[in-house]
Amino acid sequence: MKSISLCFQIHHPFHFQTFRFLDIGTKKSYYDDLRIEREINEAAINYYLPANEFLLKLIKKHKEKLKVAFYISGTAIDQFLMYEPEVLTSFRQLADTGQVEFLGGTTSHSMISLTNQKNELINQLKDHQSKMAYLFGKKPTVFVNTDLIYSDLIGNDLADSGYQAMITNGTRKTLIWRSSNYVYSNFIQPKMHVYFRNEMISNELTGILNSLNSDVQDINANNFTSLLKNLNPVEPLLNIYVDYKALGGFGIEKKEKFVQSFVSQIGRMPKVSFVLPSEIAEMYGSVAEINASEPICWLNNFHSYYYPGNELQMEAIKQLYLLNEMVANIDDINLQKDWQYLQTSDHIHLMDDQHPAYFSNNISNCIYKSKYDAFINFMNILDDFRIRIVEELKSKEKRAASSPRKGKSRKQSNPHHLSK
Amino acid sequence: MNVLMLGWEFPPNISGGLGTACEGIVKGLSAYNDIHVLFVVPKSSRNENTPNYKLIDAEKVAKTGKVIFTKHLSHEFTTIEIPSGLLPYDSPEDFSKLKHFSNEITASNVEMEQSVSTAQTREFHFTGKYSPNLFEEIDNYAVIARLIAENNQFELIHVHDWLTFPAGIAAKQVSNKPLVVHVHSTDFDRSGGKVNPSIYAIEKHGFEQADKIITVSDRVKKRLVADYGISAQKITTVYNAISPKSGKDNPKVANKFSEKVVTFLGRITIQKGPEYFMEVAKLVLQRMKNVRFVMAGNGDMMSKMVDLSARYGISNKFHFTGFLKGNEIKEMLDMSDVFIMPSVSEPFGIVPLEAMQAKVPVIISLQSGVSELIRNVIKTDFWDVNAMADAIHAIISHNPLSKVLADEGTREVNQLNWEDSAGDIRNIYLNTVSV
Repeated sequence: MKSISLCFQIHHPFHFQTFRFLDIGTKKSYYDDLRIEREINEAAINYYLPANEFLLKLIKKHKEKLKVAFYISGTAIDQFLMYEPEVLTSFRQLADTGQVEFLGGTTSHSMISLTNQKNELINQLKDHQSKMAYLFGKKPTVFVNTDLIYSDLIGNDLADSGYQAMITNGTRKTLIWRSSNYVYSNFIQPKMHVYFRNEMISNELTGILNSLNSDVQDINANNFTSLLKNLNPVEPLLNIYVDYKALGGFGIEKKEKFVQSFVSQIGRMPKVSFVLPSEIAEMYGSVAEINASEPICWLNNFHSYYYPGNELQMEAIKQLYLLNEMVANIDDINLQKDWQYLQTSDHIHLMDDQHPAYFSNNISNCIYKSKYDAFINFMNILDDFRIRIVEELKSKEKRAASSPRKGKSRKQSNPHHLSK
Repeated sequence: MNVLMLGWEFPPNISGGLGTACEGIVKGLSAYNDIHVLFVVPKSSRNENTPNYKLIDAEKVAKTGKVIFTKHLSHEFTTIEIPSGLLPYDSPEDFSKLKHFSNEITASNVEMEQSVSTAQTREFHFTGKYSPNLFEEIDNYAVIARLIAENNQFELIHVHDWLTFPAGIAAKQVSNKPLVVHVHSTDFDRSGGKVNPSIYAIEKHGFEQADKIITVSDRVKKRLVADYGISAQKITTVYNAISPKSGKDNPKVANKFSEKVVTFLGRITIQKGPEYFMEVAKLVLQRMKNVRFVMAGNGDMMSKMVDLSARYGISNKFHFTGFLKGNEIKEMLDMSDVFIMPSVSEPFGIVPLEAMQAKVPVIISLQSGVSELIRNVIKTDFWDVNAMADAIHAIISHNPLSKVLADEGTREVNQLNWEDSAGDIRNIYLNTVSV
């Protein structure tokens, strides 16, 4: 018996616009709203909506057989709510089939798990969980960290926060000689199950789908399924984790044909079936504890040895989370939102030379020319944010002093901010 | 392979980056045993003899050599007698003083034969500096180059910038050897757009006659294609490098101010964008107290800049040093916390590399050739004063940023060397000769 878990990732950050030090204190917005809207529209129309429609048909056709999981970042959810709510409706339709599961994450797609600020980590986990429960009707039980970041300590923190399983990347660094196709358990907290993304097969699938973009050649699904057949039959599990965008865009008809043929071939194979990540733990126990003292991760298109990051990244993360305590006392909904969006890992990744945005052959809308620009812009925004926090705390104090009884009841409701 | 190289200046007798680059290239080529350079320069203060390159003082050739002239040369060039001429690398003060004569230039076309015949009767004299009768000197140089070409064995001619183009073409004609033209700048860069038609004509003719062209950046390459109509196929970019810091490391000169120092170092001319630097200083000083600005160098826009600093009310935080040379440049860089080069048009720009060597964080304009080569600097458009002000503010405010720029910048610049650049040039030689 072999179980295939097919997971897709969807993430969109709130891109910054150019924010000069002269803009500090001018109430200028941090975000490049036009770019954000354009990208999310494009992604929705050309990628997610058609891919969802296709998957829905496929799932109905294959009844119990096809199962799929999604990780949607909190920032992507917010952007769908703002610009493309239709996407959420179509995900809800998928959820309602019962064969689709949504995975938990940090609501900001942040690197909070790398810090020791547990209170903020728990806030973010809960926020994301409640968003998923509200939108798709079920609280996630399997966790996907930002960029699949994982370490012993992170696994332990997550176990404390109520999750029983998480997905990370099957890097050689951690697995060494072991296979990614088994369930493992956390080194500190054995109750925590760890699933490893099969790097080779996942990259292969992404590669095939991307090559269907424009190429004339028709790769048929046989090649891919024969690759799967060559896997050791003893190994019970196969975790495929890819960017959902691979299913849409140019050549979508070819991609659909490929997936269709792949799914029906799997359906015809004896003793092979799709599973949801939440079902894995029930089906298979852990074979061993896995030791990951240093963090590992997965970044689409971009791999850099950035943990704990270069000096700029470390400084930015340090300065960012110095604000955590102050922000914890803030009720203002706009400041809370900014706090979330500032933490998104993409801002930090851009402070690395190896980021694909800095290679001339890469067509990108990135406003930065180098990691230095990314750092400067981030720090300017952080300066401005810090000033706003301090001002808000002062005025909150004043308000409390003038009307002591009213002090705490000023929480506002936010249309996008879902029930806690 | 023997290479006849025609330059115009050579350290220590230099007034700009051209000399430094020529020295680097010649010394870099000396690392390759199969390349022997015969370097001809109008006026040399030293006759340096190292195994693989030979410096010949053109003046001495003229005095001693047998001067043979043919009609051939006479129709190739126009000799223009001008009282001022443009002086691309001479002291900018002189340049500007002379420049306002340029409207009165009476360009008379003198047949080369005439000047040659006078040359036969009198001794050539090269000042080696860019004198007002620059065009005359260039043509005299061509005559000498021809002479040298006739009396020496070589497989290829390599010339640097428009000043030596006529000489290179003359040498090509007598020897029938391929000509490689090395472009360190064009008149578009030097003049800030007010191109001198005579210089343009000499440049264009040189590019057309060249078998191969080397440009110091893709920026210059594009210029040659777009403004001179030269085929991109015969142009190759070879970036300049920088010699390693001299062994004796003088103690670092301490910053005498309690404030951070932001330095502009270069000629104060339109090409270098000094008014953008002034604008940036104004913006930064509006928000920050702990910073001073230094404009080091001189040039025709200096008095305008002094006036401007007074008008902006920042003259208490804005300093002028006048022209700096040799060790003064090093001292100035040592006491700087930020180096900025807001050049409007910079074919390459070697000073940022020196600043990086001195562990100073660097900001350069994207309109500089050097910005194509280096990564660990902050790059902005020259007109984007907000971006430059922002970068200065960030470097001063965030120590990790300043540290990373200094450390990685130094590491990056230490990887550059003239041997690698010379290796690329050598490949071009070999390809050119084998065709």
